[in-house]
Amino acid sequence: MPTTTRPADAQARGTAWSKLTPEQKSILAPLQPEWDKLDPERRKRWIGLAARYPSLPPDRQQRIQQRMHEWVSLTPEQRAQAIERYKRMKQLPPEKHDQLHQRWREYQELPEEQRQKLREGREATGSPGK
Amino acid sequence: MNENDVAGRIVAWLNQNLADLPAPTLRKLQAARLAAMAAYRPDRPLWGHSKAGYVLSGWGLGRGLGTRLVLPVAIVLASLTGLIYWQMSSHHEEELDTGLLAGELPIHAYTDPGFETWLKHSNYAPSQQ
Repeated sequence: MPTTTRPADAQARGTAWSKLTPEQKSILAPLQPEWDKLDPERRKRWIGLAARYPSLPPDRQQRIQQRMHEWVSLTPEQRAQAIERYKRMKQLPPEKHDQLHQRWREYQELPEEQRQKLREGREATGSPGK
Repeated sequence: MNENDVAGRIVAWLNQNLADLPAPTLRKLQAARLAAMAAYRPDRPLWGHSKAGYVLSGWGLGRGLGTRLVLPVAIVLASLTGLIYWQMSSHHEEELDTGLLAGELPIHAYTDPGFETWLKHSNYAPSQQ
């Protein structure tokens, strides 16, 4: 028995990649490989982001493009963790939030052994580069 | 918060954000407005005869308001409140996506549990404020 796709089914799955405008496809191109796996709500958010994208400064647009590639390479668990950590860090007061980038640089300068200890939840001693 | 407060907040929010609303949301708002207009019967008295002496202006919200007006207004207010809540939370999620993707920190900073521990260790985490 042949199956037919009802409009309600299509709507429940969200906007298909083929239904996006050329501009949306261009902006969301890094997401194309996994677009069909995204849930409807997530697709809606990405389409919302694509609508805001032209109003963003060029450097942010470029950054978003790069990070969309990173984003699709993450597992669903990693994405959930990233969103949760982002929310927590966003609660920091502005003066501390401004220092996050510096703190990230310091963290990257730590020896791998210390970073591994931190990943395991153990306190690392010493200063960056020491 | 009474009906006037709610209506005032909704109107203020719409005045500020109407241009940013997506087309489907605008269509829903339009439908809600049309439903309210359809329910409104200007040829019928809005208030019972015992309240006929009241002269109310504007939305007529307040004492002596009859059910003919209360019901459609309540429906519209409830619809708008739900719609705006949904719209604001959706907008918040979009901001989250944009912030995460275009912020100063690379995504890797949010996926590396060691960085958060490093921040806590350095008294930078929100939980240690």
